[in-house]
Amino acid sequence: MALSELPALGTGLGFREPFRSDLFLQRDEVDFLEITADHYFDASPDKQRELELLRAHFTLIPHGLSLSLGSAEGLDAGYLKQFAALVESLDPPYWSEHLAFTRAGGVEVGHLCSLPWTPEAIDVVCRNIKTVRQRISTPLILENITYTVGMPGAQMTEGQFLTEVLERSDCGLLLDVTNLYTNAVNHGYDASSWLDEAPLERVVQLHFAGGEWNHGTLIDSHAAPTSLEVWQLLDEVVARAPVKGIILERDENLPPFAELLQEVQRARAIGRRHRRWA
Amino acid sequence: MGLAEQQALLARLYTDATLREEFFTAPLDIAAQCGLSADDAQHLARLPSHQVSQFAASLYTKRLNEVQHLVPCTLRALGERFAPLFRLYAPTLVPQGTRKHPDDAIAFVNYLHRSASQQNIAPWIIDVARYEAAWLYMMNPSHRSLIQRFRYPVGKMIPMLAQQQVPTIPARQASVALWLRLTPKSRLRHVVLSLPALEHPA
Repeated sequence: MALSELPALGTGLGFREPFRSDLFLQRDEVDFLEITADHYFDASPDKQRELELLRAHFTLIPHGLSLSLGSAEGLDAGYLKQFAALVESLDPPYWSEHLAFTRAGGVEVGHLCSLPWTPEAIDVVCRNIKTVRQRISTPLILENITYTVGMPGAQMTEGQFLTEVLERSDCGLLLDVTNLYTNAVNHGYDASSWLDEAPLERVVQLHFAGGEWNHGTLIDSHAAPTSLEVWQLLDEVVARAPVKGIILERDENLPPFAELLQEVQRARAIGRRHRRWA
Repeated sequence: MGLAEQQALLARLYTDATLREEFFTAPLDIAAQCGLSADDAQHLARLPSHQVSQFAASLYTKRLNEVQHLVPCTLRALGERFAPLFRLYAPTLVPQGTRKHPDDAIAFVNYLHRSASQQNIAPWIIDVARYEAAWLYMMNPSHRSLIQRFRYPVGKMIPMLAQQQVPTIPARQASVALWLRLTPKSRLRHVVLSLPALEHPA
């Protein structure tokens, strides 16, 4: 399916168990949910029942954390098998992972690690995605990550790297606006200029959330209200890219559910204003 | 460029403080020992040390936060001692797999149990930690049953801690907890029984 044919989903939330009850009481205010795929691997019966209940009421987009598409040593076959089973059971319009690696040399780092912007890294990612496609035919979108460590040896810009990966692998882009803003602040570049180089025609979904300052570094903590700067950047992205869905990723320090819905509604209004959905 | 070798070294630099210190003292030597080519070693030698340390610190904080979330009553019972004790434990294990966070929490509790006398951790806190670790163990649907004995009344202490009340040193009262899952898909059943003190015959 071409990316342009994917359905417009609207705005929603990354699902978090603490607000499950509030979510069901106000489910008409949320267009779709993103679930963390890893939380449902080897899941307890209670987590399985939770997933079935969510699926009965929402379109669910599975979002992976540890497939490690950037691992030069290849993918973990067991993890891929579990992910494929989850995607098959949910039948989503698309699913997502990160342009990163999380494991290498027998070590699981425990977080997303940046890739060097090099032809070799592009080849690795595309090779791994080809392996994925043998198990999962549902469209895949890839997320840009924040990076603390600027990998030396770059042979191109991040925009060029993204463009080539997505075009060669025919994947969509999950543009995390907060990650873009965080990297721009921490590494001293202009986010709008980054957008000029990015393959915006491949944007399918956005992430946004609030961050926090820690010793002079902006952290994408997902633990605070969305900042004015991120709202402005999100508005610019929605104006320029054929966005199908926007997800608020609030992980920590959860406020009353009504406050989360306010942010979801504000994002929905931005989408309407730019005619991404009715 | 040997990306696989580079990533293997990076993964160790992000998770091993000792190696990180050695690397930034002699990056070319360490990179060569890890099988990198001269060119790749030169690339990684240009890694900004403060950025690598900052990322490693964020990984550690994330790991600590995950475990704190998984054993909240143990966190409450240990209070300010939780973080320093976790820091002592953390280098002993790099958690792996899809269940890495629960496995990390269980391993931390085992560490607390092993080092209780050395670290002067009160036995009732060890019981609280073991009780929470048992729940994490039984969250794995392939685990069907577990019986644990405790020296203290965990059935009373856990609700107090869950309501953010730290019990004053509780009196010893033996208790037994049972977790049972009849099939991998059925609900987990659980009961805690406090055992009466044995009386000596008159």
